Amino acid sequence: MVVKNYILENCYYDSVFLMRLARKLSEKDNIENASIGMGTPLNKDTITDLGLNASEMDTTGPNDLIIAIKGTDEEACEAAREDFFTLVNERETQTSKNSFRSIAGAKSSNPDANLAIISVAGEYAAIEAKRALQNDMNVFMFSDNVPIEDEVELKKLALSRGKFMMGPGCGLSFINGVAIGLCSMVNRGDIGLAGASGSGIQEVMVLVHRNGFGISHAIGTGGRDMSDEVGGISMIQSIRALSEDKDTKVIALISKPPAQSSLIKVIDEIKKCPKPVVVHFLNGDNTLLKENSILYSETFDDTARMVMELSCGHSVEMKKIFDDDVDIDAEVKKFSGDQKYIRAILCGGSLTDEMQILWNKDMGPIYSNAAFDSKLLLDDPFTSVENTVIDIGDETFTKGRAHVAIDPTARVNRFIKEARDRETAVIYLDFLLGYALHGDPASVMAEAIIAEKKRAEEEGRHLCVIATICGSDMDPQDFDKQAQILKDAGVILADTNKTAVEHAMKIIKTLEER
Amino acid sequence: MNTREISYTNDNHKIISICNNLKQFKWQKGVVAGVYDKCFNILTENRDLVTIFKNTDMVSTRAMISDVVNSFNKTDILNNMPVVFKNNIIYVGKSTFNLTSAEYIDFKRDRFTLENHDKCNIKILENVLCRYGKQTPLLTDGCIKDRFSSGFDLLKTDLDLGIKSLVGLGIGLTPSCDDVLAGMSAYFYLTDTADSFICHIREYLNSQGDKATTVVSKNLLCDITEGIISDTVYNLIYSILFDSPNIEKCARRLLDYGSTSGTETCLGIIYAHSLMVGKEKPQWL
Repeated sequence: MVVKNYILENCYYDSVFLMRLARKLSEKDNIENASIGMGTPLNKDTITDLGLNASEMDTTGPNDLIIAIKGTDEEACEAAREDFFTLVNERETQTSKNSFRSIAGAKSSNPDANLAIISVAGEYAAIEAKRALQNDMNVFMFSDNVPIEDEVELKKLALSRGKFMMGPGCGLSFINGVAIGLCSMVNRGDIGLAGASGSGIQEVMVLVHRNGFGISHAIGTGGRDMSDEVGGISMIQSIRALSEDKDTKVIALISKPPAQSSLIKVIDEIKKCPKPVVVHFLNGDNTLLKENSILYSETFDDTARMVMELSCGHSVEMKKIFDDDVDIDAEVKKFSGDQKYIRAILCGGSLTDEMQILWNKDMGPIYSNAAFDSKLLLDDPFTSVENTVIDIGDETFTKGRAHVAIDPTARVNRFIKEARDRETAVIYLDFLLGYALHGDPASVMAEAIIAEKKRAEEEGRHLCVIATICGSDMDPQDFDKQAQILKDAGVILADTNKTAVEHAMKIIKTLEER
Repeated sequence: MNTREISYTNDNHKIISICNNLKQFKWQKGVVAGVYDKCFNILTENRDLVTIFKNTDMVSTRAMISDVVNSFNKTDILNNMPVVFKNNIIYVGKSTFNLTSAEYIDFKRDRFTLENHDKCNIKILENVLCRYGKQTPLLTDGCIKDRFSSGFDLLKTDLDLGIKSLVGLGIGLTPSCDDVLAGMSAYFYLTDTADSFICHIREYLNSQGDKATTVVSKNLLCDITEGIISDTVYNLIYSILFDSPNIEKCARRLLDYGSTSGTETCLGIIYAHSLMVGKEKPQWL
């Protein structure tokens, strides 16, 4: 190994940028470690502690930037140094070429642009969305914490201008074959989706794709669209648009339980729709749907199967990717006497909801930071109780970081904590693939899984890890590679969230009966 | 820079406001030291910091506020570019900044009179920080985290050693620990509760500052020890002490500062408060 220090005199960058650069350099082949920082004495001590100090550092002062690199040879270090400059130049070029001061400026530079993606702090999001709509653009708003009265105003403005206002708090959409937000890439087809359930919509999208069908559009509406105040404006607009869309044959609506007033409006719209519509309201009361002879489903698997059957006109047997014949008895024999609980740590909020529904139905109570029943709400979201499912994408855990499906740090930490709990038998994880999500989520977690499985074994325990991959073979992360990494780490893979939960329930039930 | 270069100037701006404390610095030449979206720094020939901001009310205590509305990253101003200050005009690359009609603003603060320290209000700040704080190397980078932790422990028992082990620790333009110390200093100064802390920091910066930390950080930290405190930091501490409904609003404004500086300054305020009300109050408090 060779250690090199490169010095840039009077060079100033912010700490987050430098941290990101150091991490990128460290991830390179032939580079063992890298650290970048101002040459203050204490930073030099830190670099020395890391074994990254070289003689070049001795003469630096606090206003000089030190790029400290440890690589297999001088060439590797030199290549990393060049990468540093490339990354700096990329940032500077991107800043000057692709950034605009205003939405109007961006629109005038790209007159054909018809969609604005807004991801600024909630307090500024509404005004930007209004500007986009006034510039004849549809809006996809990732931002949340937007006042509900602003949401209503924006959605009415969008409607009056024949545009879509997707969000606030919209995780994904798939429009005309373009994946927007945290969305998987899938084949195009004749199944249209709409609703407010990011991971739920994605789960249905990828199941449809895997079985040879495709998606015409998936329109995200934002989490509060079906509230009393908003009145399902976007949901109704989506039903109309999909109804008029010549490429859409079947429609599915997926959402958290709606307010009664919104539900009635949506039912009226469904009844006017000439195309078959399947409704899936998570943990919703389906009485009104039944009374109005509207098709409904209760799991994402069923939603996907129903829309595919409506599309092709005959029954569909869901394609299996992973072996679902798990040897439960063999697993159970390996657990110690103390091990009895499941701990699910899920990135997808809707997958968390579905797990609760399935578990409550077949097994009984399961605690959660996102529990439907307030009695099952965790007092401390950082500490699991008995059987627990955690929505790790909740803001409580990310604290100003990106969503956990982009920056998995919070989940890795939680996984380690749960894995070391002597009462944990099974850990269930979901892996979301798609654009804008983490580039290699399986590798990040596999390292911790292997280490914790080994640790458990040394302590006379067994750690059973079940996972599902919510993604397609068209996603940039490479579905097969992700699956192989998890298999190599000893993970039991399930095709869907439902199947994964069923495996877990069988194991925990057998443990309870032993 | 020569007159030929000046004659190419094609981007003329006005300076609208200037921090009062910049009056004391006499300078004619400098160099650009960091260009960001909202501002760029100039280091004068005497190693003093002057920061030119675009038109905003979120400024530091070394600010000249200009009429620029664009990001400075979109101008031709670059790191290490020479700067000339002559006849009330600052020349940088193709840009000029005319100070002739600027108004002076004063960030020198009076101290508060306090009867007690309310624990509930600091909880509000802690919650805001949990929700909106940025990922800082202080809490995530193994090496820096450990050094910060031991430095902070040392601070409780030995001010000199504690300060020495914290000033300059952190990778960016204003090292993270300096931002924490800035938050602590502002809190102690405004509450008039730990003059010895303020004095020790000031003395250390005067004697060792040029070697111990970046010149930008030294300048900003020195200002705070003189009671020159930006509106954003002042308003947050005021809201914690007297105006709790505004804590979240003030804290979120401070969190927007720099990449992680705002978060670390908030941490400093929380740490200072915890030392004040904690069971094991340091001897110097």
